Order: sequence, then structure tokens, then C-alpha cells
Amino acid sequence: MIHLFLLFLTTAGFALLCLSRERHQRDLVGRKVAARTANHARWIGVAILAAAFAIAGNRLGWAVGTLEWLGLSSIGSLLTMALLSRRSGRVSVPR
Amino acid sequence: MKNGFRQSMAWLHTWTGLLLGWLLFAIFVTGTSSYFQEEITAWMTPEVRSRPADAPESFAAATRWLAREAPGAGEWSIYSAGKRAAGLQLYWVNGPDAPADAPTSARLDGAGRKSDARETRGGEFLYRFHYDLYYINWYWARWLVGIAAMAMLVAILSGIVTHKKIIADFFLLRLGKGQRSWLDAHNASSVLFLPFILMITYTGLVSLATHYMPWGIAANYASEEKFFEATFPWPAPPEKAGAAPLTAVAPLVGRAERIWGAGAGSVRILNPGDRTARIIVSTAPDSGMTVRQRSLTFDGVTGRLVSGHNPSGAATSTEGTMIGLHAGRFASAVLRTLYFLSGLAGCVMVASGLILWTVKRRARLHDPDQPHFGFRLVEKLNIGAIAGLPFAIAVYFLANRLLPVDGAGRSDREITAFFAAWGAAFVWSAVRPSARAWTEALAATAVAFALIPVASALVTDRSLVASLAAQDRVFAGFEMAMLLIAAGFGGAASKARRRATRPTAAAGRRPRASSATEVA
Repeated sequence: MIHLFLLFLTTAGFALLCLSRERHQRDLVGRKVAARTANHARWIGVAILAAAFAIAGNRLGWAVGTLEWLGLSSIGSLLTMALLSRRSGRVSVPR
Repeated sequence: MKNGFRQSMAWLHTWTGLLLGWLLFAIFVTGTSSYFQEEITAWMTPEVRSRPADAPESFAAATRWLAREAPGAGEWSIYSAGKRAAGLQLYWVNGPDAPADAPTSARLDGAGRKSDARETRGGEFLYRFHYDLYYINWYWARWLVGIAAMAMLVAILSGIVTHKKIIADFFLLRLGKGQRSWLDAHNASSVLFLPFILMITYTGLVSLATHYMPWGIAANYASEEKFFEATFPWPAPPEKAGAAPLTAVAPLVGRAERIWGAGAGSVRILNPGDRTARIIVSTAPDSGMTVRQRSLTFDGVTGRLVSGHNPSGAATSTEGTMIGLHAGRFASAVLRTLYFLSGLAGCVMVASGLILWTVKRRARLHDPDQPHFGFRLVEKLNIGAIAGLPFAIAVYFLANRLLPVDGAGRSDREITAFFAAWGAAFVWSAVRPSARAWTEALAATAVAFALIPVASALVTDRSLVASLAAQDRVFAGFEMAMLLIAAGFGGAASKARRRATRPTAAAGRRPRASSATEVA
């Protein structure tokens, strides 16, 4: 259960980081996001990733927790990328 | 100057990556499969049905079996690969009065009965291939693998320099856009999984460091044997002194486990049934992150603790932990799956890099219908490696099910089937037009993987349905993974087919591809 929760956290963290990037906003949520909101998204994203690291280390031990956090971060960013790729394909017509 | 540096790094990245890419792909694929080595072996020996065997009682049962079957032996060893393995592996050294062809090994199930499993090297063959290769001397094979790993490290570092916009393009994956999509896939698989890919390459080099850099040993020890004796003590049985009953093994294993707070993985007994008997209990492979096992030596008659070995020096711990990090034997099911997925990302990275080489150059060919020799060679080798190796692995698994169960040299024939299939893929790609060879090779791989559960259901009583009903996670998981892989290759084949039957689209893409070139 802790693993799924950590995967949720890393995915959410990277999705927020993605949202904070101006070039992805239109694809991801369909509109430009205010600079202040983007800034918040960035810091909340970083905070969520940091929290995931702390929880992983605390619950799984720092050695295994670090490894699992790194692995789940890779998967989380990959899921974010897949989501973005899917949504950008739908919003802007390819070719 | 900056641009010049980046250009030269791009050149380095392209050519180290290409030259050793095919070997690296083979190392990555077989290495990634090795995270499930025990599960593959369990699937390839369907006769062995066992509960996990790591409890003190199963070691005791194995000792009783050895006392019955190999009473005069000079030493017995009992190995359990931890909780994931099916059963126990036994080895023994026969005494002088045993016939020369007497057996020296056996496999027991968790209940201590001998299991007559089909002869196979199982997952161990793929594991050994990833650093010892096959058909060539292991010494030179390890040098080849080391050169490839070094090239990998060079390609990773030069790739990081070359990739102008790691942060800006972090989440970018544009599909259906030819060269740009291949570049995005190459970047995504390497950047998002960079921690793993750097770690696995570096620790891979560390695990064979004494092979590549023997000078540290040469400067400090009289010979390489002396170094290994000091680092990995392996006492020989002393002269026998007269019969005495062997003490019970189970309490000693239990005591060792209590001292360590970790499971025991092997028991080695020197001179069983003699007054000089010694019982050496070692930790299990999954008892800690380091691969260097701790051991305790007990007197085989009185059960008194004689000595302990705990390789805990800073250098040994660092090395052992790095290798442990590479092999991931300590990993739980979740972490193991993450290791496996990260390994797959590494395979995608190498494969997409190799394909990118041809995609980039196809746009610049004078006459795309008659490419020059170098281009054709790379394209053919790409097909033979990227589609051919997975095909060979599928054939290896199929051969395990379809070859006659009995007969000597069975495991060799499985391996022959593996290399014959791989060779056939290279020949096929050489004689067919490349675009069609891609489709056909990928489709053949998909079919071969999809047939694995079918073959299993036809010739064994452990079909996917039966495994699911019995909640057998190893067998059901393995066969469902085969179906997933088949679906993946099927998807790739249909993509390749669409591209091959639409040459105008490829031509129309050309100008855009050249305008979108970034250093790759």
C-alpha cells in the first residue's frame, strides 16, 4: 500500500512540476496558468517529492527507501510524460 | 568553443554508442531478465513444486538426505537462493572409494525430496551471458563486456553534454513525428531513468574491477589466489581423524540466524561424520544489500561456535554494496519490479539510439532505395539485435517446453536453440528488404512469446489457467509477462508495417526531419 501511495506522490509531484512549465500548460490543462499559480505548482511539486522521499526513507529504511524513491520518481515522471503526450495529441492536431 | 565541445561530444556519443550498441543491447536485455533469474529457473523446471526453502528444518532435511546418499563425502554444500527459489541445490565431493562417475549434485524440493527436474540452465544462462557471453573464453568475454560498459559510461556522459535541453525537454514526448519521436524516446528513456542507468553501468564495471585492474592485488598479495583466499576464505577439509556423529544442523542454523538477525542461505559441512567435522553457515543472498556473505563456523560434533567471518572493512563493504546494488538480490518484489522496469528503459535507450542512427541518416541518403553499404549494415545488425535477441529468448523458453524432457545434453540443446534462432534472425534480416524484415522479425518475436503459455499448457499440467487458480504467482506472473511482451512486439510490428507500406509519408517527412535536427 505504501508503494502505491509513494507512486501517487511522485506522479503528482512531477505532474505539478510539468504544470509549472509555460510550454506545457496549454496541453496539460487547456489554458495558460497565471505566473503566480505556476510558481506555486513548482514549489508544491518539489515539496511533494521531498515528502515522498522522507516517507520512503522513514517507512522502508533510508537505503531501500532512497532506491525505491528514485525508481518511483522515474516511473512517476514517465507517467506524467505519457499523460502530457496523450493530452497534447488531443488538443493540437498532429501534423 | 562551447559549440565545438558539444559537437565533439555528439560525435563521441554517436560513434561509441553505435560501435558497441549491439553488444550493449544484448547485455542490457539479458541482464534485465536476470532480475527474475530465480523465477525464470522455477518456470523452466516445472517438475519442482515447492514451498520456499530457507527454514532451518529444510537444511536439516537436506543433511539427512546427504547422509543417506553421500555418506563418505569429504564435504557437503547446501544452497538456498533465498525465499524466491524453488528448492535447494546440493553439491558434494565424493570420498576416494566412490566410483568416478558417481553424482556430485542434486536438487531437493522444500520438503527434502529429490526432484527429478528436466535438465536446464534456466535463468542462469541469461545471467551468465550478460557478462561471460558464450562460445568464447570467459576471460576475453569479460574484457569485451568491460569495454562495452566503459563505452556505455562514455556515451552516457557525452550524451548528457550533447543533450542541450535536459530540463526544458524533460517531459517532452512527441509521437508520430519520425526522427523527432525517436529522439524524444531516446531522451526520455535515458533522462528519466538516468539514476538507474548511471548506477548500473558504474557498478557493473565495479563488479569486475579486479578483472580489469589487477594491479592493486598484484602490489599487495603474492598471487591472485592469495588475495581471494584472504577475501573469500574457503577452507579445505582437514585430514580425517576418526568417526564421530554429526551434530544436528537445524539448531545451529537457527542460532546463526538469531546472531545475524537475517536468514541463512547456505550450509557447508566439511568431513561430515568425522571428529574434525566443521559446519559453516552463511547468510542468504537477500539478507542484506552487500553481496559479501557473513558466515559462522561451528564444530560439527559439539556444535560449539568456532569462528565467524564478517567482511566489514570499508573497501570491502563499499565494493560489496555496489555489486549488491547492481544485482539487486536484496530487493523486495516491488523494488525488483522497479529494477526490471528501469532495465527495460535501458534496453529502450540503447535500441532507440541505434535506430536513431539510421533514421537520421536515411533523411540524408542520396538514393533511399539504394543506401550505401555502411547504412545497410547498421540497419541489418539493428534488426538482428533488437528483434532477434528477444526472439532468441522466446525460442529458448519454447525449447525448454518442447524438447524431449529426458536425455543427456538437454540444457545444451536449449542453448543451441537460442543461438540458432538468433543467427536465423540475422540471416533473415540480411536477405530480406529492411523495412519488411523489421515487420517480420518483430511479428515473429510477438508470435513466439505468445506461444510460450500455449506450449506450457499443452505439454505440462501447469497451464496459465491452472497457475491462476492455484494462485501461483511465479508461474502466472511469468506467463502473463510473456503475453505482455508479445503484445508489445505485436504493437511494434504493426507500427513497422504501417510505416513500411507508406513510403510517401516517409518521403514527406524528410524536409521536416532535417529542420528539426538537434544533435543526437
